[in-house]
Amino acid sequence: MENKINIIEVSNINYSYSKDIPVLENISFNLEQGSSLGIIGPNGAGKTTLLFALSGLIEVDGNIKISDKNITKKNIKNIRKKISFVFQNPDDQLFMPTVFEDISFGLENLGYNDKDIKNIVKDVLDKVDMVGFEEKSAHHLSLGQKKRICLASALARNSKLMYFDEPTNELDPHGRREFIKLIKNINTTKIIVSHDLNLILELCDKVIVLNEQEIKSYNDCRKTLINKDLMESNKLEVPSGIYLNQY
Amino acid sequence: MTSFWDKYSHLKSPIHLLNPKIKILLSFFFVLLLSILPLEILIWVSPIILTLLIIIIYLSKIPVLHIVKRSFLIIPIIIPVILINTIFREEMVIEISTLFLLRSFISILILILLISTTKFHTIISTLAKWHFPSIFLIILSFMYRYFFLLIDELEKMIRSVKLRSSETKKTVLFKSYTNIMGVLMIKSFDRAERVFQAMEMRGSEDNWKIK
Repeated sequence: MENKINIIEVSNINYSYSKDIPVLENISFNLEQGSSLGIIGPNGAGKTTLLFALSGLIEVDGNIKISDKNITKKNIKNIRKKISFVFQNPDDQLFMPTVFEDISFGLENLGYNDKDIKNIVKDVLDKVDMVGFEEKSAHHLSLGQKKRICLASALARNSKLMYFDEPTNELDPHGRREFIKLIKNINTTKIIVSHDLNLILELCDKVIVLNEQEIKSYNDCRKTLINKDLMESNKLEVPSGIYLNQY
Repeated sequence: MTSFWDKYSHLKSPIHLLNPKIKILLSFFFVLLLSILPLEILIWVSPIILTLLIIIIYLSKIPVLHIVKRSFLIIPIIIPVILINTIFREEMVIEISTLFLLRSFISILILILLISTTKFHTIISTLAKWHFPSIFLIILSFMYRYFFLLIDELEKMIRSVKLRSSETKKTVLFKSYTNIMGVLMIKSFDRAERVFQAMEMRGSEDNWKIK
């Protein structure tokens, strides 16, 4: 049997915004390299907070290892080189004057030269079907286009890990379908936080059900999503794709 | 979708097609000129500059109403300064107020015209090539990028107040608008936090520059 390496090892993490309001309690799980993990749960379950913890954006009690290295203040910059994050709201992510400058921002920080940056930007814009938008400003784009640029910007960094926070949120059905296709074609370890359970069903191998600050289940994606009792007890529902036998 | 500021920067008039460097240099020159000229000369020079600006507005095909509306944005800044001047000064009140009014109004007109005829990122990248301090350009581009979103948020909240307040008293309405300002400030802080997180995730090292 093939021995897979864990790219993420989370042991016993706790986090609270204030003493009385815990957000994450005793969270532990491992994630194998190359797999796709979905994180689902009702509003306020701590899904985005968990994603922030896995990026080192917030300090938590407990240990988080990325590629066998603990996230610490000292090595956080090196660890972040391995991670690309697609934020829920593209307006939080696209802050440079033009699309080109926005995508090249992450590359410049990785030390690429101008020639390589130009080639990479061209390549990733081609991947997300946005060639010709290099000189456009982010606010001249539609939401779907902004999301594609965010994805291009994440792809440009060629990271080992990609995090998506509500990737299809507010997209129209066509935009959603196109965006799912793009994510599907990414061959790297992915973590997707979403309320769109059909998306999770289509894209993820495993899924964590997070509710009341705890992991209620961590299992195979289809097995979890088909479990009506588990889903309903965690304020979720079995995705329609299961009934339609789509995925 | 178009931006609040450079709504007409995509037009193709002779002014739009002019080299951006020339436009930026001329704009800076006139703003500088306005700020150093004494009142007695400014009174004579202002009509000439204004005529020149009217010709440019005509050639640039930008609706006059757009320019007038945008230039009125300076009024909340001008009026308090003139009022303070009127209250605390004992002599030359009219002269200094006129000087201030002329300087600010014509300067803002010049800058509105510049931004309406030149794409914002072209202005920023030209200034970067002229070695303007990076931090200044970054602040400018962030202001440009997020002012638009702030206006958008403000419009949404005002719409929501209007939809629920057809019979409301003006005092209550005024209170709602002050609450909106508070919420807008909290939202801005929140957004600033998220933008910073996005920057951190892409390895921001506080030493980045605009090209």
